[in-house]
Amino acid sequence: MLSSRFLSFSLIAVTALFFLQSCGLVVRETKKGLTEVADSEMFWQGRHGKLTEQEMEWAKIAWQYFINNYNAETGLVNGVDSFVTANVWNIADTVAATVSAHRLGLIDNYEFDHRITPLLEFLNNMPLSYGQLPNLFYNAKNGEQESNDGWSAVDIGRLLIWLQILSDYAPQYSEYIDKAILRWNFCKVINECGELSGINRNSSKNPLPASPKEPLGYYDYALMGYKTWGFPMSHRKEPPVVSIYDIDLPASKEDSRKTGISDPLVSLPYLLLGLEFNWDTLNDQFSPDSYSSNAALADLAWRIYKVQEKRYQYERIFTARTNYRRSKPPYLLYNSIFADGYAWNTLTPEGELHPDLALVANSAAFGMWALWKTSYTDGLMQLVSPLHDPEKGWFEGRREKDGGYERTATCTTNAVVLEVLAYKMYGKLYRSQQSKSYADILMKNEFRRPACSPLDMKECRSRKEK
Amino acid sequence: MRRKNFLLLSCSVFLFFSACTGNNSPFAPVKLSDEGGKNSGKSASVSSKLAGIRERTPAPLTEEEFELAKIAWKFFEKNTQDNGMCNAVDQYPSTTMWDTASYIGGLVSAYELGVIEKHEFNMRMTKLIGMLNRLEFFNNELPNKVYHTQTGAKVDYSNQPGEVGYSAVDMGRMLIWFKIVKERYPIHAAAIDNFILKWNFSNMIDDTGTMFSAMLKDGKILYLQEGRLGYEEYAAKGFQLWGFDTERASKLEPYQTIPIYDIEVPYDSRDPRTLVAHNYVVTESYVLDAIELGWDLSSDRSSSQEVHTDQVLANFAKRIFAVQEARYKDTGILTARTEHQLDQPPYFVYDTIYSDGYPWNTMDPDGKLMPQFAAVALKGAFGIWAVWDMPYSQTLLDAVGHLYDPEKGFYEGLYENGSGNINIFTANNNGIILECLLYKAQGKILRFNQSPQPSRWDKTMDECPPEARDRAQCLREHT
Repeated sequence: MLSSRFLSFSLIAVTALFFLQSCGLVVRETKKGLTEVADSEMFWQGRHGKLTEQEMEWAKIAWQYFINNYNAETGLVNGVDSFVTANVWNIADTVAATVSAHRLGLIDNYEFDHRITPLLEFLNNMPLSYGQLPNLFYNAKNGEQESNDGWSAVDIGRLLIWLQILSDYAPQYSEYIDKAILRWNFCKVINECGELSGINRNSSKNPLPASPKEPLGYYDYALMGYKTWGFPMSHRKEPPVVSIYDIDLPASKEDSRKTGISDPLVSLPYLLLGLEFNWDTLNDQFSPDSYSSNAALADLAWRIYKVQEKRYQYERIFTARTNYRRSKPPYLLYNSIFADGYAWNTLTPEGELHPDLALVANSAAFGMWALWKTSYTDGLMQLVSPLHDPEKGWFEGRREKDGGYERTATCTTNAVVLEVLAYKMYGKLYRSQQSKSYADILMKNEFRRPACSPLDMKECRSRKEK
Repeated sequence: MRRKNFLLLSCSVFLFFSACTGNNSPFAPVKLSDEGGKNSGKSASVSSKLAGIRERTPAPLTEEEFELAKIAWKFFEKNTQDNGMCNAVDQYPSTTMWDTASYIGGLVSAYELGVIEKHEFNMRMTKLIGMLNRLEFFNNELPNKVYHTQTGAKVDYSNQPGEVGYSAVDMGRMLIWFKIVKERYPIHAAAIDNFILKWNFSNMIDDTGTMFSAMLKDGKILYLQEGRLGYEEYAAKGFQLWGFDTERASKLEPYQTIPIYDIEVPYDSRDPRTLVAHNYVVTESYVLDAIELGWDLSSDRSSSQEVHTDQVLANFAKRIFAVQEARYKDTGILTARTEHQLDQPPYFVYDTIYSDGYPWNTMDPDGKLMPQFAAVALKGAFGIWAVWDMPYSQTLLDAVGHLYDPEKGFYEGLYENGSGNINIFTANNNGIILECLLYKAQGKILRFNQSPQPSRWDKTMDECPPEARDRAQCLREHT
C-alpha cells in the first residue's frame, strides 16, 4: 500500500514537469511548483503544508495554555483557565494537545514522556464512577472525583479516539493505555445493537442538564472512538429535516418542547471527524485526504461549513458556530447553527435565550480554516487570529453582537488549535498501524478478558433489519 | 484502480490552471460565489412532487353535496339575532369582523346554491349591513375586535361592554366579502360603501403598505404590524380591492422554507421568540385565497378559472396540500391542519403544519404545546376537497362528511388521536364549508360586475391623494 502512495507522487512529478515546460516556466521554479502540487487539494483536504512562522506562533500560544494549566501530580490540565476541574473530554483534549505539540516540535521526547506518563498513571488508577467508567469530572489537582457524578459516553468516545491515536503514535505506551481501558465496563454505554446508550448517567445528587439520547454530531463522533477499539458500532441514519439557505441539515430527534432537552447542531464534532478521520471509514488508511471514503459524512460536514459561509454571503455576519464555555454565568452556551426549531439559536442548556452571546467561536473558525481552503475561511482567520493572549492561550472567540472578545480560555479550544495545526502539517490525525497490542492478546483469552469486550457482545435483537 | 484514475484526472486539470495562470493573494478580500453547491437540484425535485396535483373544475353540486350545504346553513338559522348579527359560536352572543365575514360568505353561498330564497337573502343582508352601520367603533377609528350580537355593543373578550382594539386581518377579510357582495349584488353597494367610508384607515395601513392592528395595553393603544405569510397576503388583497396600496404587506417576504416529507414548506421568518406573533402555516389562508380570489392578483378582473395570476402563492398552496397528503400517506393520520376552536380549555388552538420552529405543531395562543388537540378541522378538509381534485381530497371528505348535527350544522373537527369530534359549532367553520360548496359549483367566488356601477366609495377615492395616510384622512373628511 505504501508503494501506491509513492507511485502517485512520481506520477505527479512527471505530469507536472510536462505541463510546466509547456507553459515555458524556468526550471528553478519547478521545485516550488512541485511542493505546491504536493500540498494542494489534489491530495489533501483544505490546507496542507509546512507551518508558517505565524502559524508556529499560533501553536505556541495554544501550548501556553497547557503549560499554565498543567497539574504535575495528575498529568491533567484544567478544563477552563485556572479552574481545577477537568472532564473526560478535557483529558482527551490534553492527549490531543500533547501529541500535536510533540509532532509540531514544541516539546521534545523527554517532556512528552513527562506529560504522558503521569496521565497514563492517573488513568490506570483513577477512581471510576460507580466502579464502572470514568467519572464526568475529576479534580485536576488531586485526581479525585468529588462525587459519583455519572459518566458521558460522548466524552469517553473522544478519549478512546485519542488514546488510540497516542497508542499508534507512540507504541511504547500502548500497553499502559490498554490496561487503563480494560478497567472500564463498556456494557454500561454500548447496547447489544452497537448503539451508545446511557449517554449521560447523572446522579440525583448532582443534577446536570440531561443530554439528548443521541446528541447531534457528537454521537457520530463518539462512535468512532468505540470503533477504533474494535466495538462493532452501528451508525444511524438521520433524515435531514431543516433547511437553511436551501441547505439541508440534520436536526435532532429530540423535541425540546416535550423533553425540555435541547440538542443543538454545532460545528465541532463534524470538524473533529474531519481533522482526525478525514471523514473516512475507519479501515481507510491510505486514500489521500482529498478523498473521503465516507462520502455521506464528508458531504454532511461540507453542508455544515457551507451554511455558515452562506450566512456570511447573504447577511454579512461572520459565522463559526459551536458550543463554548464562559468563566462566568451562563457557563455553557449552545452557540448553534440550529436548535429548538430556530436557525442561529444561542441558548443555555436550560433553554434560556442569549442572542447577545452568539460567538464567532475560535475552535470552529480554526477547524473550518484547516478543512476548507476558501476565501471565506481566509476572512474568518483574519478575524480570529488576534483572539489570544500570548500569556494565556487562545480565547473562546469574538462576539457577533459587538465584535468584543470572549476572553475565557479553555482546554478544548486550545487543543483544537493544536490539532488544526498538526492537521495542516500531517493530514488526518488518526492512522491506525494495526499492530498487535496487549489488549488484542488479552481479548483473545476468554478467561482473562473483561466482562464486556467486543467479542462478547450479544446478538442484537431489538433492531429491525433494513 | 478507481482511485488511480481519479488522481490522474484531477492532477492534470489542476496543473493546467495553476501553472499557467496567476497566483491568488492570501489576503484578498472575501469574495463568494453564488454557486448552489450540492443542494442545487432541490427545487426541481420539489416541482416534480407538485406536478401531479390537479385542481377541481367547477361542477354542479350532487344531491348529497346540496344536503351538506343545507346542514351547514342550519348554524346560521339557529344563530342569527333579530338585529341581523350572527353569533360566532353556537348560542354564545358574541362575534368578530372575521366571523361576520364568514357569515356573509355563508349567506351568499346559501343563496347562490339555492338553500335560501332571494327575499330571505336580501332581508338578511340589509339587516346585517344596517346593524354594522350602527356599531360603535374602537377609539372611534374602526370596528372593535369583538361585539355583543344581541345588543350590538362593543365588548371585551369576556363579552362585557368595553373595547379591546381591532384587527387589520379581520378587516381585510371583511373588505373581501363586501367587495364580493358589491360586485354581485349592486343593490347593497350604497349601504356597504357607507359603512366602509366610516372607517378611519390612518393607523391601520401606512405609506409603506404595511398593515397594523390596535390593542390596548395598560390603557394605552399600541399599533402593531399584523399578519404573517398566508393571512397577511390574503387580508392585503381585501385592502387592494378597495383601492389601497399594500406593497409591503403583499410581499411574500420575509419567508423561508422547511423541508417536510421533502416538500419545501414556506413559513414566515419573522421571529416568534422576539415578536410574540406566531408564524403558523395552516390550510385556511391558502384555501380562502383560492375559493374567494382564485389565487389571482386583485387587479386581475378577467383571467379564467385555471389561470392563477398570483403564481407564487398558488405554488405555495400546492405545497400545503402536498405536505398534508404526504403525512397521511406516511402515517395514516388524516391531516387537514388549520386553527380551530375547542370544546374545552384552552378553547382555541393553532393546529399547524408548521409553527414556531416545529412541523405539525399544535399550540395554544401562548405557544404552549397541545398535541392532544390536533384535529382534522372540517373547514380545512372541505377546503382541500373543494380546491383539489385528488383521491386524498375525497378521503378527507368521506371521513368528515357525516360529522354534523342535523339541527346545528357541522362540528368543528375530528381529533387526530381518536377521541372523537370537537363538540362545538362555529360560524367560521360552517360559513367556510358553505363557501367551499359554492366554489365547487361556481369556481372563484369574487366575480366582477362587467358593467361598472356608480359608487360613492370610488368617487371619494378618486378625489383623495394616493398616499395611504393622506388618503385615509381625506376619506374621513368626505364623510
